[in-house]
Amino acid sequence: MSLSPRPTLETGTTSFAAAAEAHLEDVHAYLVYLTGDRCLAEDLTAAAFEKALSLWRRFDPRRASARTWLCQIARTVALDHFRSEERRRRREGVYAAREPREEPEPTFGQGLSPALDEALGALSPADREIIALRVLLELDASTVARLLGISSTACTTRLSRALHRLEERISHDVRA
Amino acid sequence: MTSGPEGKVEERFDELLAQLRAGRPAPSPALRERVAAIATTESSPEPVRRRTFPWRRTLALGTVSAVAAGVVALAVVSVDPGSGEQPAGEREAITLPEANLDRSAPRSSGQESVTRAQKAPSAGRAVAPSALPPTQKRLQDYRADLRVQVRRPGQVASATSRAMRITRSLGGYIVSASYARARQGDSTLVVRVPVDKVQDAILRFSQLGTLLSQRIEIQDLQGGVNRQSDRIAALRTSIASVEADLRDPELTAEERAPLETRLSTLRRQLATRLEARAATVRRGRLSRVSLTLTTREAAAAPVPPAPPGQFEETLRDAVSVLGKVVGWLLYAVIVASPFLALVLGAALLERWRRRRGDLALLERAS
Repeated sequence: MSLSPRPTLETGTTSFAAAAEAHLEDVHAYLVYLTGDRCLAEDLTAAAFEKALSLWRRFDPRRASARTWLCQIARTVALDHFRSEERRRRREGVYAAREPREEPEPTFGQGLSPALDEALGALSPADREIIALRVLLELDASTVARLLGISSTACTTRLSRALHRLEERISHDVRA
Repeated sequence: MTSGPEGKVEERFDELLAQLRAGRPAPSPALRERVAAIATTESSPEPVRRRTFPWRRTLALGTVSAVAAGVVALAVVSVDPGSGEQPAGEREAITLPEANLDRSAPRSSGQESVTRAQKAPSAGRAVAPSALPPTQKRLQDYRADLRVQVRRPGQVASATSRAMRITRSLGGYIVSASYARARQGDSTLVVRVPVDKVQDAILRFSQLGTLLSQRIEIQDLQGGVNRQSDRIAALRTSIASVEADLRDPELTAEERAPLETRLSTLRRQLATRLEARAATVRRGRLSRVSLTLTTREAAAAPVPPAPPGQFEETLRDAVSVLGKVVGWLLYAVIVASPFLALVLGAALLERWRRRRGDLALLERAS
């Protein structure tokens, strides 16, 4: 099977509102997979679009499509969130060790089977990120490689490993 | 599973990928409203279409242009400026130029040097004998170099003998004579003749055969002689003064000794000066003539290269400046390259560290 890039609204003269409307689902899906938390993903999506609005003046369609640019911003927002969350957890480590943290139930999509949903939740955000970008958003390997700052080969290898792990998780859950 | 950069995924994942796509999460209506509100309520300025400068293309084009300009400049500069202006065959038809007068010595020094050179521009063309007359009122160092061609090798010896006789008849003498008896032997004669008869000597020497070239140098000696005379007069005055002091009967032995030492020094200096002045005067009274008798024809006189034009001169200056600039740039690059490599390495290391950090953060964030 070939993962060919999906035709998208490539902004040559589009406004930010049109770009936001066209790529909201993509950015949201990407962040859901990256965070594994739908509520958090919604907050981060809104934050990403706020940041994108402030940076819209610097957007250059010749360098990247609006979708890639928005995903790049969403990734930066998510990484910033993870960092601040990590700092917060470290700061509150003692308390967090006594009080069990309530982890939200990961739900990645309405139509996913429970086994697949659970298997996705067991994957690392890095694995889910590559699946989201390459499978859900159907970005080509070179675009994803540029977005993640890795080579195209590394991108494909990472996707392959992520799918393998996902498959293993599903079969493990089914056997269990 | 085979996967490559093109994104080929094994077919057994088709069903899984289809499930993932089918279960793609959709944003809630609340999020849609939120984002719509962000996009519409706030004024979203149009992206500034910055005119990006095509650095790579410009750099490549500039490099090629610079190399081409350098090659053209070098080609233009390396072309002999004299070539092509006049064919060699036409040069022989040039009429003999007037004698050059080169006044190089400064007049303020009291020494004047005049050089007059006259050469045959091509083989077999004779030079009309014409000697600068020496000045009778001032002492001059008069030197003449003559090159005379005789027809046959056997005539060299007889012409040399006649030149010697001419020298003696004019009251001069032979300084040196060199004669090589060979098939094409040359004879070189250096003679001294009184200055007032040097014109006659040059005329008669040139009649020994065909005059091929003559070079006359005149250097004024009067200024030097005058200075020597002034110094001699001053020394004589000093000597007279010291002698007068020594005639004082009241002088003690201690006082007399330094005066006598000074007197002897002054007398030695006077003798040296007198001798030098006499030599200068002798040099001024006798001219020096170098006569070369040969059977060979004169070699074609080299045509001096044409002076460079303004454009060519500007081009040469530009190439020179360009060379210096390139040299300095190379120097700067060589000096700065270790630091640039360090900075580049640090930047790459920081980039690699940041990406590793991001990946590790995503791995931990599960």
